[in-house]
This record gives sequence, C-alpha cells and structure tokens, in this order.
Amino acid sequence: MTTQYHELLGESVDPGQLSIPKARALAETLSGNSRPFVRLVECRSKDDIEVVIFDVEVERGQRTVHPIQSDERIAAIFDRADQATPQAWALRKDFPQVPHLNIAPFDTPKSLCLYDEPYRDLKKRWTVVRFVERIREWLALTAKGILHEDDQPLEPLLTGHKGTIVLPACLQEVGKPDLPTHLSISATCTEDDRYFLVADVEASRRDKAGVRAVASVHACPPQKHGVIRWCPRNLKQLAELMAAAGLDLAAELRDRFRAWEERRRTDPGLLDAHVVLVILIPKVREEGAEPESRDAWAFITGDSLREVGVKLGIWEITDGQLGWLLRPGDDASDDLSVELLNPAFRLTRARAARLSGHRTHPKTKLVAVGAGALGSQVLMNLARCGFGTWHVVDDDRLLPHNLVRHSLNGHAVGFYKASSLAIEANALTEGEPAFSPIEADLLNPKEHAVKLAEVLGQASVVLDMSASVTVARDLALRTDATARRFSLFLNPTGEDLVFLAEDEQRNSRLDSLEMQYYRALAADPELDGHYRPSPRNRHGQSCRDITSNISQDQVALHAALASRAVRQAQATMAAGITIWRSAADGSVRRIDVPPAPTITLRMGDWTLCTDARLVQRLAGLRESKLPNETGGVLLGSFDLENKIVYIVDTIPSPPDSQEWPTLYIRGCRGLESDVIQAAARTDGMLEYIGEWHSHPDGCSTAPSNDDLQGFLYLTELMGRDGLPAVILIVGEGGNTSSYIGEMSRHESLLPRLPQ
Amino acid sequence: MHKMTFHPLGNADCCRIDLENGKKILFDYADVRIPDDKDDRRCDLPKLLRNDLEAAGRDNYDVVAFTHLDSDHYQGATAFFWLRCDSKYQAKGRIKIDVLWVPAAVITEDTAGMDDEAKLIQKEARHRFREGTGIRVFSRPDRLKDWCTRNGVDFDKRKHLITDAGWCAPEFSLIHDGVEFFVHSPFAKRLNDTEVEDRNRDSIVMQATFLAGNVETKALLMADVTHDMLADIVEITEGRGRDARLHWDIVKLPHHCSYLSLGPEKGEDKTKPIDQVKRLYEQKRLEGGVIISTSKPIPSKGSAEDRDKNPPHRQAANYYKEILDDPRNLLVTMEHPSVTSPEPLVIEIDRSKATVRKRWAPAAVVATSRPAHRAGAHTTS
Repeated sequence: MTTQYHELLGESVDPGQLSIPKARALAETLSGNSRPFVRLVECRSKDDIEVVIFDVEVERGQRTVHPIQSDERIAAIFDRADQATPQAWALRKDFPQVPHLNIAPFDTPKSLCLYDEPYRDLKKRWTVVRFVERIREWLALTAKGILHEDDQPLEPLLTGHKGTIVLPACLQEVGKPDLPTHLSISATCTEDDRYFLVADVEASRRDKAGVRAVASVHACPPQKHGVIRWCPRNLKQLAELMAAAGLDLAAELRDRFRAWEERRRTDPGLLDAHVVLVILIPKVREEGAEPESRDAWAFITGDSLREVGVKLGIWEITDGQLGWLLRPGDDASDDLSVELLNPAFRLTRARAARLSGHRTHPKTKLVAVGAGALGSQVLMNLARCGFGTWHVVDDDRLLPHNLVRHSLNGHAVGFYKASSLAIEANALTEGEPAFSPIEADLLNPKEHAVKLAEVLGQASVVLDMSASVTVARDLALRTDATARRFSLFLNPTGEDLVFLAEDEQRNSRLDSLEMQYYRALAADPELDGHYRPSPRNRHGQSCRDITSNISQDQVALHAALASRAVRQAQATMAAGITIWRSAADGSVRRIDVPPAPTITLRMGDWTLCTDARLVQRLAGLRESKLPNETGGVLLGSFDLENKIVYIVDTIPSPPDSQEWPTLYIRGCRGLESDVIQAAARTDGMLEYIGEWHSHPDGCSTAPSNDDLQGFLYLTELMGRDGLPAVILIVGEGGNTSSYIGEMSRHESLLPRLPQ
Repeated sequence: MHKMTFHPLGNADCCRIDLENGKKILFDYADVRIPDDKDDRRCDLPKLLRNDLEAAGRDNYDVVAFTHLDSDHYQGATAFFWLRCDSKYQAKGRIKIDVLWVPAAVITEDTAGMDDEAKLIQKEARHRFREGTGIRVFSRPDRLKDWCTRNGVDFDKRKHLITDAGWCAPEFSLIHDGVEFFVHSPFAKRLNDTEVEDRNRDSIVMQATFLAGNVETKALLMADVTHDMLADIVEITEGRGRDARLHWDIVKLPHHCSYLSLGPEKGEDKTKPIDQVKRLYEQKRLEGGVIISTSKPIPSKGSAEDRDKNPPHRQAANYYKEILDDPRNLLVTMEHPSVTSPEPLVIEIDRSKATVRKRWAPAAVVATSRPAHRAGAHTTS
C-alpha cells in the first residue's frame, strides 16, 4: 500500500528558482547529502507563497502512542512578506489527529503547531536548521505521546477564534437551564473583523446601551485534550462536533428554547435577543481520570432567538405570529452561522486568589481603619488577591494632593476615600461586594456609631492604618470587639514600615506591643534613626504623620510588604512586632522584635500596663546583685486620659548607686542623658515614669518605712507635673509589687502569667 | 529514561549505559583513534567520556566491564582508568572503577600472547580479586578455584565475587536500578577441556533487561562470540525453558558484523545463519528491534573493503537487514548518522522502548567538540 499525500497548488519549481530567502535557504540545506534524516522532494511556488516539500526520518521508539510513521512528508510554507510563522504541514492524507495541530478547515493537510510564541519574537531566533529540527522533534515527541509533558497544562481544545468576549463569571456553570441569562453586550473594538465584546448581566448594567443577548450554557462530558481540531462555522457543524464529544446540543437547545419561549409574556424582548452559546468542556489527561481543567467556548449567532428557533425547526413565524411546531421541523441550522469567540470570564475572588498563587481566599471579616496613602494601597493589594471581606472606616475626602500617594485617581477627588475605594476594589471581582465603606471618624463616629460598633463586633481582625496613635490606642482598648488588632504605619521619613499584630487570644495587646516597639527603638542599634531628632513638636499623637515629601514608590514598596504581612499574620495565631527598613539603594531589611504577653493591674483609678519581658528583666537584675539590693529608673508612658501607666523599660542602677543587703540608694551618674536619649530615639514616647528597687530573699515586696518615705518624696515631685508617683518593688521568686499614686503597707503583686 | 551510547570506533567497542538513577556502566573501552590523522573519523573516546562524567559531576563508573581481553575492547584503558594495583596509574584525573567486571579467563588466562596493556588489566583484576573487593568475575568457578589454590588465595572467601552463567549480576536490580544483567557466558561447556583458553569463548555475553515506565526493553550484549558459541547459548537457554532471556529489542552484534557470528559460510550476497542463530535473530526479536554493528561502514559490493576478510561483512549485514522491520534498524556506528561524520549512537530507553536518537547536532555542540579550523594569514594563500 503506497502512502497517499495531499496535492498542493502552485507549480513545481527548481530550488534555485525560489525567491523567498527562508524557502531558498531551506531547500539548499535539504538538497545534497549534507544532512542526515531529511530528503528534499520538491519545491513549489504560487503567487506570494513558496513551498518546500521534504521527507523526514522520525526519531521513533519501538512503541508509539500516536501513529506517526518512521518517514513523514512535510510541506514548509513561506509567505513573501515574512509576516506569518512558516507553516509545516504533514502531507500524509491519513496523518492522525493528534495534540498540537493548528486549526484548519476540513480535508486540508494537518498543520503542526510548532511554536507557542508570536512570530515577531520567534523571528529573532528562527533558522532553517532549528525549524527542521523543531518539526522532527514535534514528530518524535508526538509519536511518544509526550509532546505534551505530563506536568504541562492541558492545551486548549480549540483555537482560531474570531475575537474575545468578556462574560459574567456565572456563565461558567450550567446554572438554571430553564432561565435565560440576559446579557447586554457592547463592543470595544470593531476593527479588522476581529471582535472584542464585553457582556454583562443586563440587570447589573446602569446604562442600557448594549446589544441584548441571551446566554445558554451547555456542559459536555470530559474530553481528552487535543482531540477536536476544527472550527465550526455554523450551528449544524457545531452540533456535529458536540455530538462527537457526547453532547446532543441540538436537542438541548430545542428543550431550552421551548422553555424560554413559554416565559415570553413575562420577558418581553426575549425573542429579539441574540443568542450566545457557552460550551464547557472539562479536560482529562487519561480516560476516566478526574478533569484537570476546563475549556470554555463561546459562540455568538448573528440571528435573534426568534430566527434561531425557526432554523432549528422549533417554531415557525406566520404573519409575524409565532407558532409551535408539533414535530421538529426542517433543520436549517447549517444556515445559522456562528462565530467562535474566546470567552474571558470576569474575575471571581477565588480565581483572583488562585492567580495570585494563593491556595485560599479567606473570607475573614476585617475592619480597616484609615484609607490614606498606605491604607488605600494595602487594601487594593489585598482586594486584587481576593483576600477578606472588608469594612473600610475613614471620614476623609480625597484631595488633589492625595493623588501623589493614594490608590484612587482624579475621578474620586472630592468624594469619600472609603466609598471610592470600595467602588474601585469591588469593581475588580464579580460576586458579592467584598468592600463596604463607613464614612466615619472612628473616634467620633456620630450617626455611624451603631453601624461601627456592629461591624467591629463581628470582625475577626481590625486593621489600623490610621497613622494615628490615638486611634490605635482607642482600638486596643475598645471593649466592643473581640477581634485581633493589627496596626500598620510608616515612620515619619517613610523609610520604615512597622507592623504590630496581636495574637489570636489577645495576650499581647496592641498598646502593649506598641510600647515594646518603643523599647526596641530605645535599645536596638539596628533601629538607629527610625525617629530622627527633629525640631517639631514632641507630642506622640502626630509622630506617625509622614512628612509631605515622600515618593509613591516608597509607599508602594511598604504597601506591598504590608499586605503580605497582613495575609501571613491572619493565617497564624501568633503576635508579632516587625519593622522593615528600606534603604536608598532599594534594599529592605526586616527586623523582628519578639513580642511578650501583656500584664495589667488595676489600682484605684489607675491601670498599670507592662509586659512579661520587663518583669523578667527586673527580676534578672535583682538576682545579679544579690545579696545586695539594687534598683533603677522606670521608663514608660502615661495615658492621662485613660489613666494608664505603661511601664516599658528600665535604666538599671547607675554606677554611683549604693547597694547593700538591706539598703539601696539610686545614684544618678549618666541618668539624665540616658533618659533624654531614650526619649529622643522614641520621639518622646518613652519618658521617666518612676523608680524600682529590689528586696532581698526572705523579705516580702511590701514597702518598708524607707520605701514609704521615698514614695512620698516621689509623689510630691511628680505631682508638680500633675503625674502620679510610680514604684515597683521586686522580690524573690518573681514577685513584683507595684504602687501608683498611693502606697499601702501591703504587697500589691502583679499577676503572674501562666508559663 | 535509560540511555545506551555506542561510540564510533571503527571495529572496536565501547558502550556506555546511563541508568535513569544516575548510575553509569561501561562495556569495554577501546581508544583506537589516531589523533594525528585528520581523516580518522573515529571518535575521541576519552574526551567524550570525560565530558560526560564532568557534566554528571563524577570521576568514576559504577561498573566497567571488559568482555574479553582483545585489544579492540581494551586499548588505551590503562591510560584512562585509575588502577588499584599500582600507584603509577593513580594520577589525578584518572577515572575510577567502582566494580570491575571480567570473565574468569581474565584472571586465569596464561599471560603468553598478551600485550603489556592486557597484562596490566589482568594484574588489576587479580589484585582486586585477591583484595576481595571491587570486582565481579563471571563464571568458571572450577578454574578460579584452581587458580586460587595455585596462588594461595582462599577461594571460599572469594565466592561472593563470582557469578555463574544463568544468574543475574548482583550489582544491579530491576527494582532499584531499573536494569538487570543476565549472564549467558562464559559457561562451563567446552569441547575440549585441555584446549588453551579461547578468549572469544570465554567472553562476557549478557542480556540487559531495562525497566522504564513499567515497560521492559531487552538488550543482548554479545562481545565477539562466534556462531557455534551462540548456538550453545541458544540451546542451553531454550533447554532450560528460559526463552525470555534470549528476547531482544537491541542487539550489540558480535565481532563487528562478522559472518562467522552467523554461520560457517560467508555466502555470496547473504550469510546463511545456522539454525540456532536463525532462531535467535528471527524468533526472539521483539517488534521494532534494532541491531547495532560496532564497526566500520558496511562495504559495498565489489569494493576493496568487500574483499577484505576482516569484518564487517556485507553478506552478514544483508541478513540482518532482511530480518528487521526496517533495514535502517541495522545501525552501524561508523555510518551513524552519516559515513562522513559519524557521531556516538544514542539509544534512549523509555516507555516507547528503544528509540534511536536521530537529531542534528546543534552547531554550537559541533563547534565546541572539535578542534577549530586553522586560522591566520597563511590560510589566505
């Protein structure tokens, strides 16, 4: 039996007569015996096309998956303008249907899909030798059935579309087949008979300008990839194609259209709508395997539903009246042209997460406080990966100067940042809106108070991005929410990003984490320059306000780090204090401060707030001086409004102190400058707040007479500034008594944390 | 994927086997090229092997087999390998042999008639055998026992180093390595036990069974055996009901396509094989099987080479071409991919069984694997 080959048009020419350089180069390479495994057969020429026909010997194993023969005849097609990728056609008439063929009409040679990149990119590396070797490799790998490697994504079943149509994500499911999905379609491009259409669910469109259409979604049984290789041009061909894939499309359409038509009275205009068919094809690698991916095709008809019904023989139109046919009428669906469009479905949050490389898209309820420069960009980053369900609290309106570092654009100037941001974020994905605005000032919510309390109560994370210490402190202390609190802010120069995260149990509270961050600033040389000494006022409330001259790239850099930090913190239970320091050369350094649990104790009007690490440190200092007593100065912060004393750090016993087994007199050498330095490094957030000293083993932490005297002195001294006296007495076994404002004769022990 | 590489060395052998798990095996080593002869198209074997080892980041072979001590199977080996028996052969850059495979004759054979290189390989084999490590000796325990007695070596403590015909070499297993080597020869049947040792009769013949993607591929590696020797192998194996041990997808022809490996008569245009050999080639062949002739190009009829009594013999080649599915499945190392520029012949072994690699060498590979053309002012004249 001799092999039958496709005949090609054009006239046969000598290789020397070829005039397209690539064709000629190929013919020259193939003629003579310089190259093994190939043999020139013939050259042909027609108009602006030249063809080089040659036989190749295929590298073929003893067993083949696809029936590629040891010798195959190939026609290489070149166009004079060199605009299109040189084609390689397999000329054998019974060349098999295999993966990776270009789509081609019936009964033409199979065209090998050799490259997956555009010719304009490929051109730079295209040589005759590589072209022939690519053809031979294609044949060799196809013979083995591994052109499609196991770990490669499955190839699309059908290519060669007329354009793109953006479809609502809901059309990825068959849904309710008896109800048509009404679409409004508008074109964004009409040039060159290529389409770019955008279809929205009609009800969701404010403008009714688009063309009306109804969508019908059909699912066919799973297909092995790469089986279907030609492009239907009319409904009949499409139905045949689908029948081969196990879907009786014509029957499904008849049933559906009848059901739809019965609803015509409640659905005026239905029959005038165009028809969009969406066909879903699950793809499997092996017969019986789980579908790995899914192809979707969209076909659009030029006809209205009324005409489609007629051509499918469902009904007929007589004098403008629609009449049902009792039996299916003549099938004229070959007269019903369909155009294949590449459907692009609207983004869902799940897909946004997947495309971001995330396995999940937590629907965690979060409240964001502050939608400024950092906040807006962090939120948009998180919106783009489908993370979280958000309420955004901000009462600011967007001003022109904000545009330098805000995710919103000029259209939003004058509007609330929170609402504009929610609109932007919600426009990314389809489905339930993930972002809701609350145009309120957290500290003074007025008419929003109830709503605010409600969303805070329901949230599992409250993310402070207000750049305000007051707001962060308020959030830390609020009792109307059980959520974990996170806080994100930049230092005044915009070079450093700070992230504070409470643990799941809130053992480390946000305000205490803030204090621990100050303690790190005061002591850690890695954090030098976080707050540069500046002449501006030293009220902490403003220290997170960034100066006005910071570039967007700096904010964007930190917003990127911050959004990742929020995602990661949400996924873990632990508390965290992290500072990222960016340098002018673009490098970023991450510094983690180990967080310690918060310790609080209420004493009269006052609440003391400290943390386990400081208590431990004081105990350690005491231990190191035993049997003598020792002590030092306490640094921290007063919150006079909430009557909280934060005890954060100590300057241990100065060298001129007197330390005896039952006596301690604190010296003062170097002390003043140490206190000033701590204040400077923390922008005044740490200041002198009181004294501590130790008691020897065998003694309680109740004050001695000397201690009472000392407390009186301190009360008088601090009272001049309107501040209470604060003294801690550290005894054996980790016992620590604390006294604020007044001192009883009894122990006043800090609570012990479970180890 | 496993890989067998047959090097174009004229009438000489070197086959490298690269296992999927990274292990490397060499069957014979004959560096026969004459470097100063620019018309010598035989490959620069040590360079190719070194490049391959370098790419794999190693300086050793898991196994090197010398099928028998004919120089077209060992030439230059003592310049290439690190020898344990003598520190003179332990310079940096020499390639180590983890386990040396030899037929028993290499240990027991009389040194008469051996060249210095063969004597050195024998010395190495004997050294390893005495040391009791790094060697496997195939078959003939009777003769080895004699040798041990004569040389004061405790035979019983060397028994684990010996594998008799009818067994698989324990260095490899299908489960761990995706390959096993079944030993066909040497074996004990001899016509006349007082005869001097006949190297070809005492050479290693093996069937390698590769496993890749759950598919077996079988290769017969047949050293230089003659037709009567093959007849014995076929008869013994069939007689024990172990037909499958004769099946083949790949044959490495014995003796460079000599008619004597088929039958006693060369024939005018085609050698007629004796019955047992005919069965081996025609009945034990698996579909699509390929035959490798490690030889010079097959001479055309009436050419000077055709009149040469040395192989390859056109008549033998004609027989092989006839029994194959496609005459191109007879592959000749010095003809592949072309007579003018032979390249190592690579057979890939995977789910498709044997695939002969047929690629055009990329220009860059060609350019960097050969000396550059002469350049300079004197070339313009």
